[in-house]
This record gives sequence, C-alpha cells and structure tokens, in this order.
Amino acid sequence: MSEELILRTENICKSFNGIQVLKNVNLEIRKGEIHALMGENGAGKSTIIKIITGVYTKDDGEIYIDGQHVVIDNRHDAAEAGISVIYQELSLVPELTVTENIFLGHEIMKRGLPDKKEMRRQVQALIDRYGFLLRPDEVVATMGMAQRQMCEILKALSTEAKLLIMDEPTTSLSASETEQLFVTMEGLREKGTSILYISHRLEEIYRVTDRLTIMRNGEVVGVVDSRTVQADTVTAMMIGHELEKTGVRVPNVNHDHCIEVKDLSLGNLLHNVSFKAYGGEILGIGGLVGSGRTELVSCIYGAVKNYKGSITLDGKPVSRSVAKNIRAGFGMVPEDRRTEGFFPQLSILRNIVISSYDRLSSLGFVRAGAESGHAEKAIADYDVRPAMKKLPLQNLSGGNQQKVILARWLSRDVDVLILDEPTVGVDVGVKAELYVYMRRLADKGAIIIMVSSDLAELTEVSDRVLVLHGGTFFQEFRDHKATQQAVLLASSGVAAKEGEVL
Amino acid sequence: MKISQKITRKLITLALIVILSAIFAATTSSFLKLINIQEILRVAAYTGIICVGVSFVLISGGIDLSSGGIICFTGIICCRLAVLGLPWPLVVLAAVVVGAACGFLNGWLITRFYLNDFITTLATGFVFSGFGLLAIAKEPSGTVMSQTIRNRGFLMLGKHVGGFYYIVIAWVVLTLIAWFVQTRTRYGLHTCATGSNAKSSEMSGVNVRRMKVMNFTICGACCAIGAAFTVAYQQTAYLSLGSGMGFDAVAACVVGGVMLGGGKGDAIGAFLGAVFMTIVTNGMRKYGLDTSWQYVFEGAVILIAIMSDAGFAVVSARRLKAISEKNANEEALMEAQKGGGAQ
Amino acid sequence: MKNKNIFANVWAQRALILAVLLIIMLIGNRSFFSLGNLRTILMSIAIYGTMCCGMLLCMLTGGIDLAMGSTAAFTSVVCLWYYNGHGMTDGAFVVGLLLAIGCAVLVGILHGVCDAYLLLPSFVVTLATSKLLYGLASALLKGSFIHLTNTEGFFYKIANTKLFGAVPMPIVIFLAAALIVGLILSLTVFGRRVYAVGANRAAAELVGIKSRIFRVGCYVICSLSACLGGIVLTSMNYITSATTAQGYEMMIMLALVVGGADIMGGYGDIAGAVFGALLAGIVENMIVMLNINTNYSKAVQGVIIVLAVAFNVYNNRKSAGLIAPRKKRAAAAPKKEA
Repeated sequence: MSEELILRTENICKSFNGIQVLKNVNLEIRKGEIHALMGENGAGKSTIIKIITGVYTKDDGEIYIDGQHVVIDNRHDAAEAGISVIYQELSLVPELTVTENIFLGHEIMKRGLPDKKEMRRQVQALIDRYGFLLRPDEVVATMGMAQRQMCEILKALSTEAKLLIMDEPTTSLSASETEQLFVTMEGLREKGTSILYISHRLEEIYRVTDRLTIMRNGEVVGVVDSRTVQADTVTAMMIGHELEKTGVRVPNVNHDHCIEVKDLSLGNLLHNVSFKAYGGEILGIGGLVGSGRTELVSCIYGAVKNYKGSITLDGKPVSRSVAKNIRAGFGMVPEDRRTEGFFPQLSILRNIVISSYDRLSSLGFVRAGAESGHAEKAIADYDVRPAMKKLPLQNLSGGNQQKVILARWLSRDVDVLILDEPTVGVDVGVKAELYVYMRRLADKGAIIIMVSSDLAELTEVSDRVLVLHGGTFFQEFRDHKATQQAVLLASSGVAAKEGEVL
Repeated sequence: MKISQKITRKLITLALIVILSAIFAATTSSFLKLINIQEILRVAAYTGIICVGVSFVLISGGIDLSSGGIICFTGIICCRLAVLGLPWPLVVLAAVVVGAACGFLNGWLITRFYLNDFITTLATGFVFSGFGLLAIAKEPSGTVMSQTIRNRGFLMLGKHVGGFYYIVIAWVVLTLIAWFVQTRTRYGLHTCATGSNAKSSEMSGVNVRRMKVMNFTICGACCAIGAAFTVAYQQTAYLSLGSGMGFDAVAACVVGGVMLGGGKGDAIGAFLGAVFMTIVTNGMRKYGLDTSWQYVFEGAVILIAIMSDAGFAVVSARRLKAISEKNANEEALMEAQKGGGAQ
Repeated sequence: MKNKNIFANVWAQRALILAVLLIIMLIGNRSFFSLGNLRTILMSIAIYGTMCCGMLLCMLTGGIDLAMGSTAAFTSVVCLWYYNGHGMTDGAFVVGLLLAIGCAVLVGILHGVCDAYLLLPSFVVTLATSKLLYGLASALLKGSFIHLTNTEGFFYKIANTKLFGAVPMPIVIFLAAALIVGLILSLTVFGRRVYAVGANRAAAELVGIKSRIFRVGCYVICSLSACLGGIVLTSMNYITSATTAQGYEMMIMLALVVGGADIMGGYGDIAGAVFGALLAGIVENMIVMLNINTNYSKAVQGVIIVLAVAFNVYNNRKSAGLIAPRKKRAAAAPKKEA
C-alpha cells in the first residue's frame, strides 16, 4: 500500500432544505487500501457517497482523483473518473448471463453485433485475474447472493474502476458468503484497487479494512488505523459524548403481566430465542439490520406464522392470526410505513380507525358518529397536523404519517404494542412527542416492544435493552444500564466481557 | 449436459404438438392430408406473424392487445391501395408504415403518460378498428361496400409456391429474423433486460422507454405484414378482420413460453405456440366439434399455461431456497468444526 | 377547505361533460329527448349500471374482470335453458336462477383464486375465462338462441313490470344495486376494508384484514352482478344466447374509469360509477341517434377510456406528489406552520 491518494475530497458541504448535512468533509483514500467509513444513521455517509458518485451535486468543495481535480455532475462522470458503486439492492438483470450483465449498456460490437466471444473472453480474463468463482455463461437468476455480488463487483471492475464503493455489501450474505467476499476484496487490494467500505459491523471492519474514517453529524471526526484501534474508541467517536441519563425513571413494572417467548426459531434467521417482556416497561430490541429483529417481532404479532417454539401472553398461547391478536389488544407499527404501514390515498380518519372497527361498528355497520369521534379525538390527542381528518395521508409529512399510525393503536388502548423502527424519517420534534406517547402507554401497564437501529433512542427510551446478534440474543442490559457504546459493541458481536447482564 | 430451462420449455411445447398431431392423425382420416397440412400452416402463419411482433412486446415486459385493431386498419388500407392498382411492394410498405405508426402511438401513450399497457392497448385496438372503418370503401350513402381485389401483383402474396403459401415463408423468415434479433443483437439483449428488470437496466445505461416504444412499433409493423398476406389470400378486407386476434396472439405466445411479465422466451417459442393453437383448432374441427368447443378449449389452454408457468416459478424458487439452505447447513457444520478445533 | 374544492371540481367537471353532450344532441337530433328514447337510454344504463356495481368492488381491491359479458351470457343461458326445459314454471325459474348463481360464484372464485393466491395477471385470466364461458354457453345452445316465451311467469315479469306503474323494474334493480353497494362501501366495515385492501395490501394484512379472501369475495360479487345483469337483460329482450352482453365489459370499464376508479385499486366510488354508467349509456345512444356507423361506437369508447385513464393517472400522480414536486413543497410548507 502506497501513500499515494486515489481520492481526496476537500471541504465538501451539502444542505437539504436549509439543513446542513455535510460540513467540510475531507475524505482521503489511498491507492490499494480498503478504507472503511462508519457512522450512525444520519451521520452523512450515504450523502457523501452520493456526491462522490454524482447522484447529488455538492454545494461547495472539491474532489480530486489521482491528484487531478475532477468535476462530477452525474453518474457518468463518476464512472469516467473510475469510481464504481456496488449498491445494497443489486443492480443485475436476472434473466441475463454474467457476461451480458457485465457488458450491459456498453457492449463490445463487431460488425454491428455484440461480439459475444470477445466479451466472454474478457470476462473470463477478469474472473481468472481476480480468482472469482463464477462462470461467464451462468444466468444470474440461478445464482446465489454471494455470486451475484461477485458479478456486481466484476461489473464494476470491467469499467476499469480505480475506486470501488461498497455500501453494506454483507447485509444479505451468510457467514461463509461474507468470508468469500472478504477474500475477493483482499485479492482486489493486492491488484491495486481501492475500496471504500461502508458497514455497521465492527467485526468486519477489523477483519478486512486498513483504515477507518468515522463520521458524525455530517463531519469527519477521525481517521484511524482500523487494525489497531480499540472497538470502544471507534464507538465513542461515532456516538460522541454519551448523553447524561436524564434521571433514571423507575418504571412500574408488572411482572405478572408478560409476554414470554420460549425457544423461538425461524428458518436460518432466529435460533432458540427466549425472553420475557413485562407490562409497564418499554423493552428495546437492538441489533443490526438482518439480525432477525423484524422477524422476531413479526412472529409475536402473528404476521409470520411458520415459527417453531412458543409465545405466550400471561400464560396463554398467543395466536398466529393477526386479526385475533388485534382483538386481544395487540398493535404493531411496522418497519417501513410506506409499504406496510399506511394507506396512502385514504384519509387520516380511515387510517386511524381501520384497526378499531370491532369497537366502532355493530352488526357489520360502521357507527359513523363513533368513528368520526374516535378519529377526531385521536387527531387531537396525538396532535396530528394538519388536523383535517379527510386529508389523504400521502399528503402529510413523514412525522405526521407516523403519528397517525401510532394513533391507530394508541387510540384503542392496546395492551401489547410492537414498534419496529418507529422514528425513521421523523424529525426531532415529532420524535420527542412519539416517545411521550409511548411512555404514557407503558405507564398504563401495557407491554411495549421497540425495535430500533437508533442507538440514542434505544438507550434513552427503553427501560431494558436486548441485543440480537446472529439470530439469537447476545446481551441484555437492565435498568437503563445500556449505553450506546455497549449496545453498538454488542450488536457487532463484541461483548463487554464482564458478564452478560450489565 | 444440463439442458437449460429455455430449451426445456420449448421441448414441452414441441412434444405436445407431436403428441396431439399423432393422436389427430391416428383418429381422423383427413388430418394428415397434404391439403390439411397446408391449411394448418397457412392459418398458423397468420397467427404466427402477429405472435412475432407480440413476442417483442411481451419480452420487454409489456402487453399488446391492440393487434386485432391494427390488422383491421392496415388490412383495409392494403385492400384500398391494391384496388387502386398500386404495385404490391408499395402497398405492403404503406401498410407497414401505418402499422408501425399505430404501434408507436401505443408505446408513446404508455410511456409518456404512465398508462397501464393492457387497458391502453385494449382501448386503442378499438380505436384502430375505427380508423379502419374510416378507411374502408363506402357507397355514397355511407354504407360499407365490399371490394374485391383484382391487382394481380398483390394477390400473388396470397398464393403458394411448391405447396408453401408465401405467408408461411414470410412467417418462417420473420421468425428467424426475430429470433436472431432477440438472441444475438444488442437490441434483443436490451429488450430482454428491460423486461427482466427495468430499473437495473436503466441504471446500466439501457434506454428503457425507447426500448418499450420500439417494441410496440415492431409489433404494429408485424401486424401489418400479417394483415397484408391475409387480405391478399382472402382477396378482400372487412371490418371484422383481425377481431379477437389481439388476445389470441398473446395466448399463443404464452403457450409457447413467452411469459407475461417480461424477460422470458423468444420468437421460436411464439412460433411453436402458434402451431400448437392452430393444430388444436384444426384437429377439433376434424372431430366435428363446433367452434363453441374451440373457444372452451382455447380458454382452458391459456389458463393451464399461465397456471403451470406460475407453478414452475414456484418450484424453481423452492429449489433455489433449498440450495441456499443446504449451503447454510454446511456452513453451520463448518462453524461447529471450527469451534471444536478452537477448544 | 382544499378538499371541498376538489369535490366541487369533480362534479363541476362531470356536469360540464353532460352539458356538452346534451347540447350536441340539442343541435344534432332532438328526438334524442323523446320519451321513448330516454326510456331506451335508461334501460341500457340500468344493465350497465347493475354490472358496474359489482365491478366497482373488484376494481377497488385492485382486480379487473373482463369476463363480465360472458359470465352474464353463460349464466342467463343456463337459467333460461333450465327454465324452458322444466315446464317454464316459477319453480323452475328459481332452480335455474340458483344454478346460474352457483355458476357465477364458481367463476368468481376461479378468478379470485387465480389473482389473489396464484398471483396471475387478472386480465389474462378473465379474458381466458371469458372465452371459455362464451364457448360453454354457445355449446349448450349449439350456437343458436333460446327464447323466453312464457309471458306469464316471473322470469318475464322481472324486466317487464313497473314499480308503482311508472318505474321499469330494471331501473329499480339498478338503483337497488347501486344503493346496496353504495351503502356497503360507505356504511359497513366490509366497505372500509375493501378500500384498505385496494390502497395497500401489505398494510391491510398488518391491521388484521385477510386481504386475499377479500379479493376473492369481491370477484364473486362481481360475477354475481354479471349474473344479475344477464338475467335482467334476458327478461328484457325475451331471448338470450352466447353473444348476450358481448362487449359489455368494455362499457363497464369505461363507466368506471370515467367515474374515477383506478385499476390499481383504492380509488373510486359508487357515485362515480353511476355517473360513468349514465355517460356510457348516453354516448352509446348518441352514436345511434346521430346516425353514426355503430362500428364507430367502439372506437369512441376506446378514445374515452384512454383519455379517462390518462386523466386519472395524472390526477393520482399529482395528489401523490409525483408531478411538480416544487409546487407541492411550497404548498406543504405553510401547512406545517399552521
């Protein structure tokens, strides 16, 4: 590895709607290194990547490639400059072969026809050069995820990329596939290709990267050697100063009222998970995306039915039917509100009351007065703005949409509320409001289970935190003892050594 | 050697054709007669030429139900121009240009205004028939007049040479060209990519909208060619020309493995589908079953074809899942061994 | 406030369209307004409208049924065939009707299962069953017609009596169907859930709605409305065959898209559907009254459908913020402050 820089950015700034998301970002990536970029959600990682690859235009600052000043206005410019991105959701065309995919859009032509032989030869040469386990004529639809990823990398390399950007490439890979990817990456490094590697997983950073840039709140807060740095140093830099706990609440936990999950297993995702969630407390579930968090709560709710193991509420088994569970007092705010949470073209009113017709109807007929009163009360109680019950929900801001979904359940006094990433895309003011509503519900004695990737939220809001890693519980933090750093370490599978229960 | 899924699907259709032909040949006396085979090929060629065009649209992920209307419109244009005594190449060229324009209109409407393709083409099919009515010869009183074509050059298109109708030759040639374009050229590759995953294709630099519009245009042109030959054979054109063909062509394609939703199949499959559907109809007539039962049978065949394709997709998805689970199991085993070694 | 404007606009647009059509007829052919002709229009509206009511439910959940015409033909043939074969008594009619209803339910279940469970494209499935049912009806009658000759029986009286001596029964049936579907959609939990399933199936599942069963149910209701339409039509014309109600699905689709329904589901209401049926009936009649070749009527239908769909798509994209985002942002900003 040389000291020569392949990419250097100088004081990159970017604002959206007047909010500055990048402040003077200086990124330096050397030739032939695997450089990691870490930071919490919203730290500005993806924004800087999008600027480098020409998806966004920067407000200010300069980009240098190989010491040369370059202007990147669109994806094409980035490709010209030798920058390639491997996206999380793969960009391959399933019905085509590896060769066809690699050359799609820039086929080698001979006498007006694609020169299949030549393209195949070049792909084979690339495969041989990097030692990939791929066949040029294989159809992508029949390949596994790891192979698809390799094909994607090959596609990037075929355009003579000097810098590969990988955005969380291991999310959908199994352990052995991940290892395969790392071997590939190391091979690339030996051949002199630089890689910018974005990940949340500390163990991967240790395993494969050379240096590490850490971002927080749109700024670079440090560049360290990732082979020698301590995990807690990294996490401390990511989080910044740990917020003082604002007076530890002692929740009024009712140990007689609980959901008990015993030996729950689901395919390859969850293995013998057991825990209890009590009435009166907010139970936080942490872990990385893909650790099985969403599947776990979906099982409890009854949306996923083919699990093994038992789930009981106060000793009685919980049904595997969503409708029955709702009648029994369950509620769920799903992970992606756009695809699973709300009904975009229906009114605020309809979105709120849709789960409560068991109370608002008689003999299958809606009691219009009760329905409208229910919605109005909910809109007022949970401060939905604008407070126009007939407005289609798609016209509200993200925060208010989320308020509506929460109001859907809170307005019917649910007994078990499951929240999956409840504050994604919600602005700070609304966030605080949502937390107040959740706490109020807990104080009434309800069981609240909250899945979150937001560490501050997880440690501040929940009374107890369980961290999932690799489909099973890794660590439990009781009595508000969870710190962001400890949770972050635990989700990466790096345990604070002293005992499982802090 | 492993036979690819593409070929398997075609072999199934081919096997069905052979089996059905054998049954019809064994149980009816007239099925295998030369004149009947000629007839089967001629009828199949008409559907088949339309199928060539429709296969382009289907592979690019769209659907075109307007072929019937385009056939009607272009057929009537052929008839009018032929009656005027124009040389046949000009007549066919004019029809092809008009057909392509109709197809282009479909594609433009769909991509420009984000319209649903099946509703749009279903509706434009009727609109094109309406254009046909505008173009048809009328008595001064406004009633439709039937015209018989006496243009020798043009009528030649409806004749046969050495037992093969020209339309059959055109069908085979068009199918081969289409197959070549679909499997060997950049255009075909981009069509397949568009149908398989439009978003990824766009990211790779494929002009998805242009591909869609182009394929609708090709479909329109193919309809015009089919119409020209058919009008020449029948020596006249009429308003119900091509009615029902929009769906029949899609059905034949689906039976031949050009799947709805895009990315799968090619013109050879469409060819086999057209042959299959025609043989079925012909054989049923040989049994003396009236046309009603043909409708029943066609409807049932289409339902079975799409259901079995869906079933096939489920099976192959399961197989992939099984493979990945097997990998996961091996992995767990490996990890267990590793763990054992460490201790 | 904004909402009210949109509502007013929709009806202003509709009134405007009707006014234009009526003015054309005032100039073109006054006999359009004769009582006899108005009755003819109302009768055709009644049949379209009855069938629209079922299809509306289907479209609201994101489905489409292009086999409605064939279903109407097949079920009416079954009913009349049994009726004529069993002494043309009212008892035979009831059995025939039950047979027809049974067939319609089976057809609806087939459509629903193919769409909701097998995830097959509904328009191909329904076009295929359309062929199949047409063939079956035609085979049952050996390609011929079947007459309703008993003018004393209940079957005949369905369409040929008048309520209070003034309102023809088919119109009563249409209004009743519209009323029932309208009430279902606006007053019942079922109706609320139909909209929810159409708007977002995944979200519907997560609030405890079994969306697939709902969709099958809506296809069944759709087929039943086709069956009803077919029986009334048969009683009206004293005759039925495999070609009864042929092409009606286009008119119904026209009526629904003109009324603002979206084939992707979630948009549309009964008032729009009734207006659409009204427009469909008037346009069809206009073409006859203006002495335009009836072959043009389909072309006109086609143009109207494309225009209406384009209009709906534009509107829906606009309200979803996909068109002119800048304007929308500007409009949304003061809202937040309010």
